Amino acid sequence: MKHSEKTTHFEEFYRQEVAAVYRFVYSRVHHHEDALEIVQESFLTFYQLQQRTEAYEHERALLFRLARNRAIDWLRRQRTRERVEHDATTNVVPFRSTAPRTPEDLLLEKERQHYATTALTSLSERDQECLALRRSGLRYQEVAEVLQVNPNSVGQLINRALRRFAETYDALLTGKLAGKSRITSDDEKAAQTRRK
Amino acid sequence: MMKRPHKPDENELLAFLDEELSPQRQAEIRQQLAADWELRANLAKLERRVEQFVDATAHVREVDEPLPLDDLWRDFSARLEATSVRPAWQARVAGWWQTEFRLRVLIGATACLLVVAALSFLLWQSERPVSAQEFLQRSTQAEAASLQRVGAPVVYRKIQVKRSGTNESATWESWHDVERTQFRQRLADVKKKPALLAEVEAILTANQFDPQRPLSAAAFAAWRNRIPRQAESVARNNDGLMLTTTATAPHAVNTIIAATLTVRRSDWHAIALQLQVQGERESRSFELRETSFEILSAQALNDFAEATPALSVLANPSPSPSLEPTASPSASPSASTTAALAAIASATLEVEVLERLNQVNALLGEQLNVTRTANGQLKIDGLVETDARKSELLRALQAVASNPAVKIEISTVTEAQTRQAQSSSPRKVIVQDAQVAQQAIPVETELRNHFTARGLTGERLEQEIQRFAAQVCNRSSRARAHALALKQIADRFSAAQLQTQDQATRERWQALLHQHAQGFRREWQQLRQQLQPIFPVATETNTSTSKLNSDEELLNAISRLFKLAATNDAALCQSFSVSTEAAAGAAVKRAEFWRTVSTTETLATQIVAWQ
Repeated sequence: MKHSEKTTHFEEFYRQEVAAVYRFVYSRVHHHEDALEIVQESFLTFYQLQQRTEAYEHERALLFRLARNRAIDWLRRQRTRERVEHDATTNVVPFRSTAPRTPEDLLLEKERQHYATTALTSLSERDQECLALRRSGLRYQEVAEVLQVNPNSVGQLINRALRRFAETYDALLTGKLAGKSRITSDDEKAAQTRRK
Repeated sequence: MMKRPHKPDENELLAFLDEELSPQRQAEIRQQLAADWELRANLAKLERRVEQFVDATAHVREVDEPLPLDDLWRDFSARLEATSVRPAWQARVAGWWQTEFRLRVLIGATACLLVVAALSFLLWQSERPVSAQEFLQRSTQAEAASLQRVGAPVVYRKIQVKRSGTNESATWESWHDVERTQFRQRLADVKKKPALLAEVEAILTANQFDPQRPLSAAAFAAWRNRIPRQAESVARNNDGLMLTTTATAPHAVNTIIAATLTVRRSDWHAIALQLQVQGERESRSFELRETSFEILSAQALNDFAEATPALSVLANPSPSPSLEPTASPSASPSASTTAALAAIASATLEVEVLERLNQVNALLGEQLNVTRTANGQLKIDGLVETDARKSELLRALQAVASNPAVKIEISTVTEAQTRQAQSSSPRKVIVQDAQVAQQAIPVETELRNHFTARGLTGERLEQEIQRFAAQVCNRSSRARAHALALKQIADRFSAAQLQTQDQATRERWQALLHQHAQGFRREWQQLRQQLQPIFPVATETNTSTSKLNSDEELLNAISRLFKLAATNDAALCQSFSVSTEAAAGAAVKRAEFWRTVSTTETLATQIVAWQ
């Protein structure tokens, strides 16, 4: 393949996958600018690897694996997972909406978002990654390659993660765990920040 | 005979949904689904689970704007270009580091080294014994060193005193001017000394344990040196290091049998004291735990006292070590920060603010927030429509406005807009026209039949339908506003905080809750009466007579009531508003809707009955 053809092919691939990779990375790091940076760097490494090797069998899996590794590095640099949870709770990107909403609607929505974030962060890293990768459109084989697990166990991993999420989320919604996960008041948040 | 295919489990069903199985197995399961209802139900459950996950976590993934693909590609191309001009040796080094195997070895080796280092540190820590003498000596030295850092130090402490195995507790604050040996104290939110504090004070005094400074290594050492010791041990727990000293039997009544002093591992600061005391028949246990501590400068406190005439901290020395409250419970300096020295709002003050806002109906959906700042002040901020409303709110809050523990920031919409215009550039506003496709109320037929039977026709009939629909929606919104007020009042305190409230404050807080729970019930009673002649299903109720048993259940009930009230209001108003939805879809005609209404009524009744 000529160089120009290769570049055109790569541009197509880039435009096709960038949003999915971004969503996956964002769901891990919860930070728009850093997620974009990780995506760009992952594509860059992917491109360089492609230049050295003729073809990869599962291009998407490789790309997601590069993005995942970079996201893990980023998370490690943040030192504590608490910060990510805090950002995820407080800096969630709002829903797209054009309809005017009442304060009660906003409060309810905020509460639901808080419960969903709590349920999501209560899952193990592996479970969260499984769900995020599958949701980004990866097939089981690709998920297995990204996470380096047995392809036959991917279905089980995803199902278990989904069930755990649903159990925690339902319990929060029905108020069984409400005492544990109430949206903290300002002073509680300030105390948390001080502790960190 | 043909072998029958096995029934898929949940994992395989998910793989089937994701079309991850072989074509043959996909076809087999499809056939099984056609014949097996149970399997179809399991599949539907899985689909719901996936849908719930996608809906619930949309906010974690969704972005307001679509990604600017062209910009991103341009940025990427620029990076690519910059990389391609990198010297060959740099590219080779980068390539080497990207080689996965070497990277893994490097990470693995680093991780091993870290684990070994951490284990060595833990081993060194755990093997190093601390004697009781060293424990007390180091804690006393640490206390003295921290006092030397501040000129003319005043030690502020807030201690929660608790009787073990019960909910009985009290909060006690003290200021101790070390150089002038002055002492001042205050009991949180109560005017009369609780029996628990009197009992602890008597025990400490009887055992010659300094009652002014019970959480102090020096006081503990003084007591320890006076008693015949039977056993002594130093242990670690999550809080830190604990020294437990047990006195030799026999023990007279009110004698301390054993005392445990806990210090923080990081700075040897005493944070808790547990006492086991001999009673008439059996022993009693108490726990004194520090919830706040700061060393303030006496000068700073005096400056603050002069600036705030109502306050006279340390103005009068208190020679007696008795645990008597000071005269001004609402005005006290905050110990959270020396610089700010802002006062901490008490629970009583918080309830008073809620009452005052409630009197002017400010809890029924107005854009007002009551929050606590990091240093304990109560902040009331919000946005109101007019100057008149702002004045009304400020008048209502006038009595508490001068309190240093209260901060009020209420602005009108005009004021907020002016501020915004000064601070930011104008934004482009896009106005979109909305068109209603069909002018029909989902329950129009029922309303028309009802009012026609009463002899109304023509223009009068149309007017009556519209008036009735508007009235129903207004009443439903009022019920929802009461539920919102309930939630705002309830959210001010956690179940644990409610436990520490004094009786009077608690009663005032409950009165507010009762008022709005009754208001909610009243609105729905009237709605039922209004709608029953048109929708017979409105008589549908749930038969639940359970009652609330704890503060936690009360808070959960209020939270649930608020959620259900919001859902019911939306459903009811949709039934009575112009809509393109089919009439059959109107919630007001369904028995489930009325059963949910009944649940909210039961919750409101439970809240009213809660004491």
